[in-house]
Amino acid sequence: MASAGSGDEKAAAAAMITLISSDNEKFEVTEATATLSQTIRHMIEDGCTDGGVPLPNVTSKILARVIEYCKKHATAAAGEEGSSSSFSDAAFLEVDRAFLEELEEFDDAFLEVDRATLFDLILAANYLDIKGLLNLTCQKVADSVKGKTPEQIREMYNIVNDLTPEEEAEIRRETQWAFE
Amino acid sequence: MSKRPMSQTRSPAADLPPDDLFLDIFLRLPPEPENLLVASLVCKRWRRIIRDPAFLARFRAFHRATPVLGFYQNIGGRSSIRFVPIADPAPRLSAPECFQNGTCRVLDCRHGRVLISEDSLMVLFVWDPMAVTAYDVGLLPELSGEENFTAVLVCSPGNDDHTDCHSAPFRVVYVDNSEDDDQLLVSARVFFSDTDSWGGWASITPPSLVTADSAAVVGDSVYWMLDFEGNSNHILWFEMQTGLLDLIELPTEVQDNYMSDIHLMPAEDGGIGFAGVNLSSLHFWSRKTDSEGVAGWALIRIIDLEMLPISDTLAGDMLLWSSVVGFSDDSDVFFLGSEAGVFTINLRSKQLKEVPEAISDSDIYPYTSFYSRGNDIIKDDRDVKYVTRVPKEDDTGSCSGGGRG
Repeated sequence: MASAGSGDEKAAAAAMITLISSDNEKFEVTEATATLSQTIRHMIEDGCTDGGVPLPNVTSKILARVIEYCKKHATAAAGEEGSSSSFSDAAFLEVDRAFLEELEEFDDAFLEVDRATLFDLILAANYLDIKGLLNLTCQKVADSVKGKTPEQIREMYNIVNDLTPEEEAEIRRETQWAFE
Repeated sequence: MSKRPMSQTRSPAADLPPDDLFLDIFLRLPPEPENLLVASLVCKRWRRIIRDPAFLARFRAFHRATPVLGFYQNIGGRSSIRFVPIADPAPRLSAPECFQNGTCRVLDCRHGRVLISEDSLMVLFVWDPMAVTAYDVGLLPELSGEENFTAVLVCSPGNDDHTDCHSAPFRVVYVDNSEDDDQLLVSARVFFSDTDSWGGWASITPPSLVTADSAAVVGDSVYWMLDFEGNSNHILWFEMQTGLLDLIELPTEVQDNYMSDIHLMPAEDGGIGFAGVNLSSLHFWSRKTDSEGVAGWALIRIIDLEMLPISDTLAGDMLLWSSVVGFSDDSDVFFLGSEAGVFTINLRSKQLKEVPEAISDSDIYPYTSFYSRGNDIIKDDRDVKYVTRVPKEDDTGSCSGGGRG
């Protein structure tokens, strides 16, 4: 895998992009990492990345996390390309599986953040149009809601119950089939 | 998913993302309807997002297979209707008292609604277990005198993805068997809920009578099994639009290979098909038309049931000569009845599960549904409680029609 991907990595290493966070911090990343974001990919294609890419909606704290995600997944994407062009050998499959497991572990650890950071990551993933990251973070929130009662969800996300008792009773009456 | 512009101002409700990102989150909730239901009880904003028809359409497209929440079975022929939940937590969708008086039975169950026959009053009901309302189809058309009929519930055209049919107009296709001096006659007619009226009769002289087995609906066509009696090796085909009633011959090997026990279903390539078990293999057939316009049957898929895993082991000969007792085309889930009990097999995930609560010698009518916005679409029906129309003497005339021998 390493030998198969080294040519691409060299080419990518040559092209560096500067991302500028809302608080004016600059991040140097490879084009391979940056183009996981469709938004940035389009900017590169349009040739408007000279002098850096300002991202006024993303703070340096969140941008650092997003770049961490993109670096890991850009390497994974390069690895996949490399292995698909090589013959399928048991050793290669083993490496692939180990790599996927590592990637899953990375994603799990990556999501160990507080609620505010998680929502900021969702906003950034949406703005930068990074499908994998948006899917990962949205699924995390959906999983946290699954199997909970409305009360538990409100407590978890500091939501005030603004349904009137009448509205709540009406919903429950309409959906008697679902309640004990 | 296309990129959306990010709103510059945060929602005043603390640090929660804007609505369109909540759509992406809610989309990823599991498909069982209680998940959206619970989320819609959290606050006004979540409720508004979730009950938006555009969101619900996206949710259904995202999840594709409709979850099977449970199934209905007629116990002791027609003495009671039983609902067996298989989703967790168990939904409460049992038939109410008025359908439990020993004279009601389920004839069909499709897209979240149930077709019930009240045999003593000779009335059909379309019942929505989630909305707790029933639509009275009215007095049955002229019977053969032996109550030897069956019927199918079909959604009217215009709701073709069948993802939320709870309040959509429907049709009931009614088939009557009659036998007079060895002369067999099968007649079909359609009830239209949008005009609240029955169409005309179509009749055919078949080699044998229509069985009470579940019918298959494919587009505008409905198909029923005929008894494998004498030289009969046919299914009945009814085209709703044209009123055409015709016979289709089955492959010659059906009776030998599947012990005359097959289940009609839509084939995965879009036409009519059937499934049958040969030893421990589940076979799928499809009716195809070749380049010269000649229609014929083809065996298109075989699933080896012996090799399917069930609770840490393989099924082995557990499903030897089992029979297909139910199928949900919304979710690709089969119910197989064998000497070892009743099992579900999910054709997508190849998952096999035992259903210990099921009774193995009774047909299974799977109940599938996504979250539905429920009664607020059909507000007027909210207080309708099982209106049962008692037949009057002078009603009988209006239900007989022409075209019958």
